[in-house]
Amino acid sequence: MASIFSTLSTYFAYPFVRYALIVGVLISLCSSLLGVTLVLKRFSFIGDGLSHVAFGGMAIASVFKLTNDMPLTLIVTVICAVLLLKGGQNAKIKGDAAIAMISVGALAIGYLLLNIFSPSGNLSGDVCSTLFGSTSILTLTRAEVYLCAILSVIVVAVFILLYNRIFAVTFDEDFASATGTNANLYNLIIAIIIAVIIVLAMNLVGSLLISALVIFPALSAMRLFKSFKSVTVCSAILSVICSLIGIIAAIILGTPVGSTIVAADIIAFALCYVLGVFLGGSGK
Amino acid sequence: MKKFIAIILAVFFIIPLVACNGKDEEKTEDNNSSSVSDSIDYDLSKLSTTMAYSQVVEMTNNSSKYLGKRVKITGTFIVEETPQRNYYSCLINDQTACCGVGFEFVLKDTSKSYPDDYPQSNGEITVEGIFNRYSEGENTYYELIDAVLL
Amino acid sequence: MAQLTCRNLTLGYDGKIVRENLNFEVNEGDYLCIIGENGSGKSTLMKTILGLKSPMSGTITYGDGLKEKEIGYLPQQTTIQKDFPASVYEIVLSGCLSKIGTKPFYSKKDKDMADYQINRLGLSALKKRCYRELSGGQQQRVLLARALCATEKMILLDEPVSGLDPKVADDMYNLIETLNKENGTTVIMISHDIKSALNYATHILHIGDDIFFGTKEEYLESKFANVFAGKDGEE
Repeated sequence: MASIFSTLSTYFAYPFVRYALIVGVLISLCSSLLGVTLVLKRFSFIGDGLSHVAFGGMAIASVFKLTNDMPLTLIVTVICAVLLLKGGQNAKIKGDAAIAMISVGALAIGYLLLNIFSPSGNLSGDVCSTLFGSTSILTLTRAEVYLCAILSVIVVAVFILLYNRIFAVTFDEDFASATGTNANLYNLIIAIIIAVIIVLAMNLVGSLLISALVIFPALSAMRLFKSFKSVTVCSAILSVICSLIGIIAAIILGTPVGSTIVAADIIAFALCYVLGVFLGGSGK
Repeated sequence: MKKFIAIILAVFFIIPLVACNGKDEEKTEDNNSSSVSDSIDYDLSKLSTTMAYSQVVEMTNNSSKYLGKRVKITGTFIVEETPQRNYYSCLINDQTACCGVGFEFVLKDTSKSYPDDYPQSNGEITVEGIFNRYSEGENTYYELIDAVLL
Repeated sequence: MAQLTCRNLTLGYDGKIVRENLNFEVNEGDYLCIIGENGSGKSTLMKTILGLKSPMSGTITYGDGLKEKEIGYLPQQTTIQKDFPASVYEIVLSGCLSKIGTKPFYSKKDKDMADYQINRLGLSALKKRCYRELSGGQQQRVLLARALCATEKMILLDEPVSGLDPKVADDMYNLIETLNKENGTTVIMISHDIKSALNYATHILHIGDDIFFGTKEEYLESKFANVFAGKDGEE
């Protein structure tokens, strides 16, 4: 066991490992908090959908040879998130169909643009690393870490301050509206926060695996806990632990970071499911 | 509360499982790379692919910090032959095998010529040399000079 | 001045008229049952009163101390809610949301109100229980407690006993009656259950090709009663 710690401390000497762990913790914290709301609103696949939109945004940014693709990507993703979520449960094109349309459309057009305008040499490499994240989390610059930290703090703060309203709007939008809460506004805020988190999370696990970060911790927590608050807290803790384990395991074993984190999430879900069955039987 | 503790314990069981695998891999690597290690500043050959890949990117992005340091790297041997000169590189692929990063190297022993004195193309090699940076036209390249093949 | 007055109300959505020329008023302490066949516009009316939809024309006036958003609402449950991981306490407390204004958290007063409603509706034993583990009747009581947290002046109930066993439905009706008679809470209820409606209501609003609004007694004497109440057998 001691040699594990000495190996880990050697690795921690590398700055990019420290950055990866910090960013990993922050992103998984943010995505798991919002994950509970999204899963309950039946928008589980929105992570996937919006991440494809973000991919499209990055493609456009490449075509225009923008050095920093984040602002454009963020704007495009936020707009689509708003379109998808603002309607709430009263949207004309319902959740899953809308997500599918926008998601697949963005992916196809993004890839098309990249092919036609082909700004960089290694096209499939760029696409691949965007989709799977590759080692992007381990190649962050200090500026990116700061940006991520600031955005995460804002997201967590907003979530805590608006917690009661987010709960009300998730559980019963009609009641909330009827009793004077501006449900549309809060749907909008949730949409914007999701978009921000997804653009950040693409660095961690890549587009294809983002949904896992959003869904698994929430579902795992719901197996075990009975109140919304405890589900949210448990979801956050699980998500952070799995990301830490995933990143460290990937570094030690040489596996892709994104997939390893998701594998950890899946194991945690299986454990929670089993625990839930045992404990649920006795402790009612 | 009990449930809470139960989860934390359960999840923490994953760490030893994973870590034990890591430990084995570490041991075997330690046995192989004994020799020249003392003066090496950055030994990437001991790191997992994920780490090595990331470290190469880090060195490329912040090259000033690493210039003049002795670096050891394990990867795939790639040759690019052009009329003016041949470029020899050691490439590390990322885990999804879709991207690769690495350094060129220039052997200290200038008497060696390709292909006879060089290893098999696309084979695995270990190279040790001094990290250097040069420009050709608009582009910057990174290489290990005074390199030795191990 | 009546608590709620609707004049020449035309309801609809997407340009389609569902019902027009609705006129009725509700005074404090009334118990109004809205009845009618499926598709007659009952739910649309309820949503319009609550401000969730705008009327296509006509006016809704709130008076006698009642503000538009001060109406408690017991909606029909969605499938999402039936499976929701939240404790009874959390759900009832969320009824107080409209009262905290711009503050992020509930005050002690709000929490006390939630406890009060929980106790009053006989839910104290279930306070920490998960909502999805409760029976249909218990869930409805939780939602009623939530509505009462929002306000005790007026509550709108959308088919509160649908899907409940007869005994449980009876308990629910008795509960609502107690609120109405002892508390003075104005009740507006949509129901398919004509017999119970006639049992408990003070006023009836019948929406259909012909519209009737009046007291229960007037209704029983009108032509509608023969068609509707007659179908159920004896009055």
